[in-house]
Amino acid sequence: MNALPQIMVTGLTLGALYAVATLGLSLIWASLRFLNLAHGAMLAVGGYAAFAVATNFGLSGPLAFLAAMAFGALMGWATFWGLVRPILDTRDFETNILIVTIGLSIILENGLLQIFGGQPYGQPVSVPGALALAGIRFPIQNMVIVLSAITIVLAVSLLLRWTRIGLALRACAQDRDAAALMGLPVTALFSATMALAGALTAASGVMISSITQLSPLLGDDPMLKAFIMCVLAGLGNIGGAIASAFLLAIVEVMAEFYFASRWGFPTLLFLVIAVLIWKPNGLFSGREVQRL
Amino acid sequence: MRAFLASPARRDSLIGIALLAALIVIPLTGASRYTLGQIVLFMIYAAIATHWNLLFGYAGIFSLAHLTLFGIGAYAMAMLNFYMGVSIWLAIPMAGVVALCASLIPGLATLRLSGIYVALLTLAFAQVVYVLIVTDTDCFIQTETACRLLTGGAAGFYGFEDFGTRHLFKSNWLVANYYIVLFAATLTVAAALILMHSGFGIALMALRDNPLYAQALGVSKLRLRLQVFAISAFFTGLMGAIYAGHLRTVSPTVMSLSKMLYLIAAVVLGGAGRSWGAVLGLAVLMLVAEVLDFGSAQQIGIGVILLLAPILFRRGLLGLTIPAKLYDHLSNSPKTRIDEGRQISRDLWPAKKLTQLLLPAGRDQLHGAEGATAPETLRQKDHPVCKSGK
Repeated sequence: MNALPQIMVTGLTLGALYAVATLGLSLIWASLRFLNLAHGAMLAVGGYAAFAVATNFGLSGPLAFLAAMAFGALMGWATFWGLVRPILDTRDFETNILIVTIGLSIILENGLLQIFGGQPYGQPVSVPGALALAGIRFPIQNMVIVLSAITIVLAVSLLLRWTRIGLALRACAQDRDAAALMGLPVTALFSATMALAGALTAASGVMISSITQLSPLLGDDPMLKAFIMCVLAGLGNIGGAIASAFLLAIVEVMAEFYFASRWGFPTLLFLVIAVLIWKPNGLFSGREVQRL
Repeated sequence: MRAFLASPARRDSLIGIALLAALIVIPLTGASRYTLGQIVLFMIYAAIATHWNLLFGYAGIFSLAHLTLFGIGAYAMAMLNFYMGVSIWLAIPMAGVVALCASLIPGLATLRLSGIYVALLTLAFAQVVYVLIVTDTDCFIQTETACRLLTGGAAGFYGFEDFGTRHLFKSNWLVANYYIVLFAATLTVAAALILMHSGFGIALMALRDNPLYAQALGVSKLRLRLQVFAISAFFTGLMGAIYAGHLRTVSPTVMSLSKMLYLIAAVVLGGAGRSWGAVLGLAVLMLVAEVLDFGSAQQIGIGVILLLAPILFRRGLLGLTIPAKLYDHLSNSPKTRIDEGRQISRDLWPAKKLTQLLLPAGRDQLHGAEGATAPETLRQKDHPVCKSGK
């Protein structure tokens, strides 16, 4: 039997998941120029938030999904004011923020462990069933994931491209000082960016946990892959990150199918190292990368 | 005495000798086996934390693969001994060389790039090594009773030689191990301290703070950063081998991310970029864990330290204790009246020192020369930090 169609189905689903996971990370890098190492923990918190409201308050799937996104936005907003703002303009911000977000990540993951325990849960926010078409199995959940991912990515690009707030966010990312001099409320816009990134991160956490399982460490692996995609595309290049999310997901699934599942991730890494030696600024870097 | 202590190198050697003397005496005072065992672990981790401090605090390389290189050293020693019958005393330095070679993979790929890329790719490298060991399930050697995996898989690797102290010293083996570890740790820490205080270390700091300026003076960024990465990998791998020889087993958890974060917490708490920061931070963390039993909340405590340290005190515990005036005095930078000026001069001293080392006498105009001149031997062409001739 030809496995290629099935590989493409799995690869596209994974690509959609990675694209949304990458989006939050890439937004923060593009505007605030720091790497959020708590990204994985925030993914997990998003997944658990949907789980908690769905089981405790009996919210339906889409509502629980939105509740998780709202919680993620709140988390991103609080992170900005509590942790990022105090050290934003200090020397060594770039490395200090790595340490701070590692700390946040440890606290969030262990907090989840204390509250929910280490045993894995199934994500209640999901759609069972599958369609069979020409001998290929399409689980409905995968189709929902791909559709919501496309919706989210489109919505974010439209927001950034065509709205006033999107224009303001892009101006901030391009030149912070000039934007402030033109009268833009830079700090408020930064906190809005982090809230948006938090919401996207939580959404991706719900989606990832719906095809795997809920565990406090569920976000670590997607985070690492989101990093790799950002690096491959050139940090801060959002369109490139989404393209490389799909590219790498298909490469990974093929490597897992044709070699062995344990070689999927190493293959990705070697690919990225090769790209970095060949094009240190990323695969899609032209002379000037538009950051947001 | 004051003049003698004015040199940071002399001050650090004095602290080092005092610390070494204390550590030599401790087993003679009849300390319990538990205490000795904990101190052995402390010495091992303090030694590699000092090298992480050298990488991060001095060279600005945020490597998340440090414990992976430690683990590679431990596995290399165990496997060389088990599969090839190499004597443990030969396998230990060989393990250092193996770790050095392994460090070139992430090193060559990332060290020409900025800090973020280093963090990302070393993390990915660490994860790959960890996953490949944990998911190893193929038999490598089939014995009559069991199947032996190449790396031992998730269960860990065992069955190799230890230091042989159990056979030689019977019940006193722990004391013998203690001195072996002390010897290796002293060597490792001394290597890091020498690098920190040498022209090499100053060039690294100048590269970190003023990359364009340092490169304009003829310092090669990739070359120097790769060198310090490889050297610290060698010593870290060496300590890994010592760790394996002491515990007689290696498991993949030695290179887990949570251990790595513990190490980072120690360095950040003590003071990154301070020669004794790593040792102090680790001592504080271990003592606090001894006194207060956090149980399951211990990880959260580490998280809180990491979260608050850069916000509350940016230069670690040692940064709190050394008043700015004394620091100016020790670091030989010009005394300035305004705090801001003092901060700037503090940030610039590596670049200034590098200028003194590299530029011919009388040309040190950059930061208001104080008549300091470089000795004849440290002139540009001869100095080791710019031998590449680039």
